[in-house]
Amino acid sequence: MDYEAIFLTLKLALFTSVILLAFATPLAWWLARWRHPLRPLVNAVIALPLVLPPTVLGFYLLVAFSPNHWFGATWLSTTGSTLAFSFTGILIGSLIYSLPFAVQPLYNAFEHLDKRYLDVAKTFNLSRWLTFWRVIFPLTRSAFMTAVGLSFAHTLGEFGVVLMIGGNIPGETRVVSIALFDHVESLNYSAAHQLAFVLLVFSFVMLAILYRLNRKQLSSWT
Amino acid sequence: MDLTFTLEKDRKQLLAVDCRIPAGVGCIAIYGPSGAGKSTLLRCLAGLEEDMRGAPILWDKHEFCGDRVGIVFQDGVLFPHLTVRGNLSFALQHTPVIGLSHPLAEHSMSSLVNIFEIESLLELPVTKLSGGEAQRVAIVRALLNKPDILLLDEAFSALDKRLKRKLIQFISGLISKGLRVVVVSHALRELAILSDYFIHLEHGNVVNSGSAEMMLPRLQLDADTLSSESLGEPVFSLLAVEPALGLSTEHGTDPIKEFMLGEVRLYASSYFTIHDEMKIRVDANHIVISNNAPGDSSMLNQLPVFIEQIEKRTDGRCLLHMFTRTEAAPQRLYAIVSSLSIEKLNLEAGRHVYASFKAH
Repeated sequence: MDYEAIFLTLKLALFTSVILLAFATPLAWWLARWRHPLRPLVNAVIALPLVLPPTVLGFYLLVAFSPNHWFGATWLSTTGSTLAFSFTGILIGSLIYSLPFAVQPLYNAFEHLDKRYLDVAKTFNLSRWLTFWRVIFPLTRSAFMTAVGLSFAHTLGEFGVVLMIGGNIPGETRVVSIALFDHVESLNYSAAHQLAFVLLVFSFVMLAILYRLNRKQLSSWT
Repeated sequence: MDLTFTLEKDRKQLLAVDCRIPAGVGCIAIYGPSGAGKSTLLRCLAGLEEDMRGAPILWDKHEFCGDRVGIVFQDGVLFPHLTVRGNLSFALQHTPVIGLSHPLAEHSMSSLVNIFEIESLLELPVTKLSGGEAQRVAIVRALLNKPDILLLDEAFSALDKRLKRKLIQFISGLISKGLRVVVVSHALRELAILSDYFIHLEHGNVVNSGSAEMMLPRLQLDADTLSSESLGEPVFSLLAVEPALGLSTEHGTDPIKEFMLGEVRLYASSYFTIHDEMKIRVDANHIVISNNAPGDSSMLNQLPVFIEQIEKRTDGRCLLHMFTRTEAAPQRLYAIVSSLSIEKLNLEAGRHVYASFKAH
């Protein structure tokens, strides 16, 4: 069993979902409140990874990570290493690739949140932080769970982007989907079966838990 | 105090308010048809709208101690992730320290829970509450936060008659202790009992505003042109009375109470205590006018009055603006009579007549 690949995949998925949550929450909040003609355009940019072939995204990222590009060059001069074929590189790719999966559930929830709950909180003189923790978060908890669950699950199944920018370096960029592809290419079907089965069961269990929790929360409010 | 501001959104003016409200007003009523901007005005007053030009100043601080606002919406807007007790505790946790002179200083959570009759609801999730229950919990939640100004947006609409009467009386008591209230309602009775000052809104503009005394007869006239869901209630007057000796006199199963207005004895089955004054309600449609004292009549209430003005209504009937003529200070009284009666009795402004009526 490719424990190393499984561990790396879980690490990548965990990092991606946690970082995305911190980043997507204010972004989704701002987008839901922003009234501007450019809003659909920004929404489209965020949703782009949903329809874009992962190889296209991977290709552009690979170009950006190259030391010939200002981004890659700046990274190299600051950190002393390149982003291409590194864990940080696939993490950045993963964050961009899964961004809509984190932003959209939160955006929908914030958009549909009854503004009057915030009005009541305001009359209680609640700070913004307390309003978030005590009012907004509990009222949109299911969207947060969906955002984390979907970005985690989506990262588990990531293949194209990782292949383009990460290659197949054990312990660094060789995630489960790449390892599986590798096993199939080398006709090692039993190892491929094992990994595919683990991925299948894990993804299924995660989604089932997610739906179960969401349903529980929804039914308690209706 | 001046209430002057405009609210614009997406380059569209939603609200333009320009009122000069006299000092000493304890409760302001906002009324008008649906979509007039009543709730938006309330949000502006609560400081919840950010796109205003000119800040609405309700009750200058020198006139009153603070500017902490509480708001109650028609459907309660209780936090669905908390139980009833959770909602109340939430408000309590964010209650400021208040002085003993605050109108709500003496009211703890348990006393408010008692008054609003919500003891049995405390452990329930708020999603299980009926409309009326949610409104009661929402009012208690707002009061627990010890506001200086309470904004009520159709906050009594789902309550049954008994509770509505009881709780409006309670809020009225708080107003007389210094709580300031702005109330939006379609129910003229609620507004009349609580409010000293009326603002009539239509299409985001103030059509009319003034003291309760001046505005009450207008409400019915306006109602003719408003939608049917609006103020379809009869014009009425509220007469300030004194309790007669032996206030409650039981006459068989009919508990008629006796009151005095100057030297005249009046009878009514109920009364309101409005800002510490005892008042009885007289519907304008229930008044019979006669040129001489009627003597024996089943209408026990007979008041000498003076006709100030006769106003023709759109339905062909006339609204009489009258003042009482007793040893007590004159009070306004309105009657609706037919044009035929005006003609037959030869009624005109300046005449002294008698108003007989059944009071509620």
